[in-house]
Amino acid sequence: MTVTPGAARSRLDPEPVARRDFLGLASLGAAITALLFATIGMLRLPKAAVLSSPSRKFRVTLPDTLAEGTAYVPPGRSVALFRDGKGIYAISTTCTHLGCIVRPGAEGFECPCHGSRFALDGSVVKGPAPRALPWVKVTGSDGTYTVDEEVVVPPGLKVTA
Amino acid sequence: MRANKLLLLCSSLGVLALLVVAMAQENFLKEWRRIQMTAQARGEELDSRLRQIVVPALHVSDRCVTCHVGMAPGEQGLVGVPILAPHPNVGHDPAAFGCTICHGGQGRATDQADAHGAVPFWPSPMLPREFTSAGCGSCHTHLRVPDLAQLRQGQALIEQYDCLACHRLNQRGGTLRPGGGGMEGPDLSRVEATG
Amino acid sequence: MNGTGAPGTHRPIGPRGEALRRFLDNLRQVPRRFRESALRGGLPHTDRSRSSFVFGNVFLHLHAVRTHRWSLRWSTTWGLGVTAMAAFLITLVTGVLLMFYYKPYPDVAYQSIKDIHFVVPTGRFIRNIHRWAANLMVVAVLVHMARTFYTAAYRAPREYNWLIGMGLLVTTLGLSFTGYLLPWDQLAYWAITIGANIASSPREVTDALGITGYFDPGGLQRLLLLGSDVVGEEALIRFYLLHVMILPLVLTALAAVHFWRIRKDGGLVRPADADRRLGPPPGDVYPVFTEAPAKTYHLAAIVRGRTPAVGDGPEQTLPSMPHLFYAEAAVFMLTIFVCVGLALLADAPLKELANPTVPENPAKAPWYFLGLQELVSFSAFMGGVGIPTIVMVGLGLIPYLDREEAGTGEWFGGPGGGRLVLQAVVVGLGAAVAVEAFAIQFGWLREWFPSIPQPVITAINPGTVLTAIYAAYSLWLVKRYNSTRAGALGLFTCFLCGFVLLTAIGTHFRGPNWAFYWSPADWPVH
Repeated sequence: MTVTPGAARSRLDPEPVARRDFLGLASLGAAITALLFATIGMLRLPKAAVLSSPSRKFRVTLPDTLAEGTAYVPPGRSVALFRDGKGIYAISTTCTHLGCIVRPGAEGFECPCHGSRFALDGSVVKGPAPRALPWVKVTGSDGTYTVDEEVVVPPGLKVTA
Repeated sequence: MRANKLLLLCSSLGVLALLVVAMAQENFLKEWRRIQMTAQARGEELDSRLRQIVVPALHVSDRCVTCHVGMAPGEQGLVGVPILAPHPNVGHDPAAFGCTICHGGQGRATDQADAHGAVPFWPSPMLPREFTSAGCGSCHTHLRVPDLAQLRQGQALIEQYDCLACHRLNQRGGTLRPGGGGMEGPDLSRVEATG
Repeated sequence: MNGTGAPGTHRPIGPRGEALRRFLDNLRQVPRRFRESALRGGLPHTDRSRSSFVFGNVFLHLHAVRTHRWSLRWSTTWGLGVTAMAAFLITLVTGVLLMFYYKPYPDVAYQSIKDIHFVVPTGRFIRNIHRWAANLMVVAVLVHMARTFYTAAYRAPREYNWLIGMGLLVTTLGLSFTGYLLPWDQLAYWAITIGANIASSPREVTDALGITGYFDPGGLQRLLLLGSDVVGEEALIRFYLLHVMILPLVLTALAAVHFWRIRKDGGLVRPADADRRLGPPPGDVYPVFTEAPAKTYHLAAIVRGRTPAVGDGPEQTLPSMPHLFYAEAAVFMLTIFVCVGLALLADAPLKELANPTVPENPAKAPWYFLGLQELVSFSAFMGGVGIPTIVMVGLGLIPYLDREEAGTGEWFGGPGGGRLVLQAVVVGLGAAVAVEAFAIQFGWLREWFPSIPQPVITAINPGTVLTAIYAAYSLWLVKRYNSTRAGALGLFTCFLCGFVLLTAIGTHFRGPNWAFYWSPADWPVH
């Protein structure tokens, strides 16, 4: 092992203290920032911007013959519409326990999965459901209504027929 | 090593700049965002997002209603702004059928040029407005569509001149081949003649 | 750790108090101890800690601790290997993202790509990056192979790494080809139909011999590729599997071997007198060895062959941290910049939905196979099997036939040098143009002798004629310069030029029915 001719120092000398390397720090900082920015941008991708299921806001035409207290479930939808003296209203038929679809009946709603029972106004009669079935927004008049499953309204809110 | 640090710095800043441009394109510069903002400016309560009509049975995912928000399921439409107007009453609810089944065009697209479909590699551009009723023919092939004189006239002409003798149209016709085995007339399905 | 604490402080002495104090003390020390446990050699501020940083990190220790100054010069490699790897990593990341939305079933696949383009957040951008990075990877791999050849970096002891590199080339082409089908548009469908038919090209020979009934490698290859007799859902799911799992794993494994071999071969190739030509190291380089080494070294491995430390002193090496890492980081970032820039400028293509009843005319393979497709248009067997085999065997033999030493590590090193390469360019391009022009203008054997037996055409066609011309030229060079390397230089250059020209013809000058047109504007409308 020979000393390199022309080398200014030997290993026995202490290592020089490095000067602050602005270019190096700046370039590394820029690189890390760029990669971080790219990663955050890429994290946006998995969150779907459109859902592949039909829109949760839809129009429905109530049959004229709908008796008071009888539910009308539009085909393929998980709401039940009712008409009574005070107006039209819609109750979600998604059980508040674990999401099964409840069956409307003469005395209320019954869930086939774990036996929860709800009254005709959605309130819980028998568990394990923790909450009442939500009422959802209905607008419109004259037989044709717009139901928006995404907007919950206080129970009792009815739109005049 | 200095050169490499410089190259690293410049490329990184370049990448950052390009990513900022991409971010702007994605979040601010889209056509449909601007159109939805017009509706919001007019007082409509509308959250800014993509919208579509999905009809699984018909394999339809039509995003026309992202811009034509007035026709989105459950929306009322805004009279006065053409693109936000509600759908005219044609006896069918757009929410039940989608848009492209009658109008043609590229339903999955979200910008105007691609959605209206007069672009390369899309074989069914939107029907011109005056011929929209030809779209009825995609389902009403044999049943009469009420109150559409122009459609009936078109169908009558096709029968009168026996176009289907030589031209194929949506897998019908084209049985007469001059000279037996020679070329038949071009397939008219691609010319958007329906019904 | 006694229990008394600093003098003058009142601390509860006793077992419980002492334990609590120690606990709090430990808690306070957590940040420092965390740093020390993660970076056991400390931050890389001295040469010793720089070595430890590289040696002690699972990802970094694929690199040697010290890199030769010659390897760090841009003109040595142009960073092409790193570019290829960077492009692969970019396709990997963007590919995984695309997998969130892509659905590998016919027709649905096309819709999912449309959705990625139109509605998926950043989908269009990510897909474009993926396509551009994939193309860049193929280009980088080919140019890297050319660089490696021209600097004679394949010579002993690096012969095996050259073969691994060829494996990486084939895997890269396979990745690109399998990915090509996934959009399920007309471009994809018919390109893969062509590819699958090329896979069945051994039938040209077995048919002529009448033995296809009992020996049908062509049919078997096609069946394995497609999973059926037509390009359909089975083919799509096979290509998907190959593209997202099998081939990436194969490539990663081969790449690991490739990089490891560079280590064991003593780093990148360099001329024998590289140390002298580099001149003295910059003044601020801390010397490696000195009069009285006071530290011990690990014995990490016993290797056969050269390391940077054998033959010459290691004084012309620099610590990989930071010198090599800045170089790699710069190339990596530059590659990202190019891919992102191209992605913003040009969309990845997507034609109409695949329609098995409407062939594209002309139906073209991906660009890197268009040269082959041009040859296939003359003879399916020669273009699909014969010439590729000859090329692969030829490339693979180079390091074992060229045992010379003159010019190792130099661009165009070896007898003849750059002037020979220039001459070979002229010969290579000229012969290819001449053979192609003849075939385009006058046709080939079957046009003049319609009943000529197929084996004659298999044996004598533009592909084989061109190969023969190149081989003859190469042998002439061997004799003229009394050097295998000279012949190799000529042959490789001819191959490159032929490849470029045939690809250009296939891309630009072939129109419907594979007829020759001077420009796509001349193609007949119907």
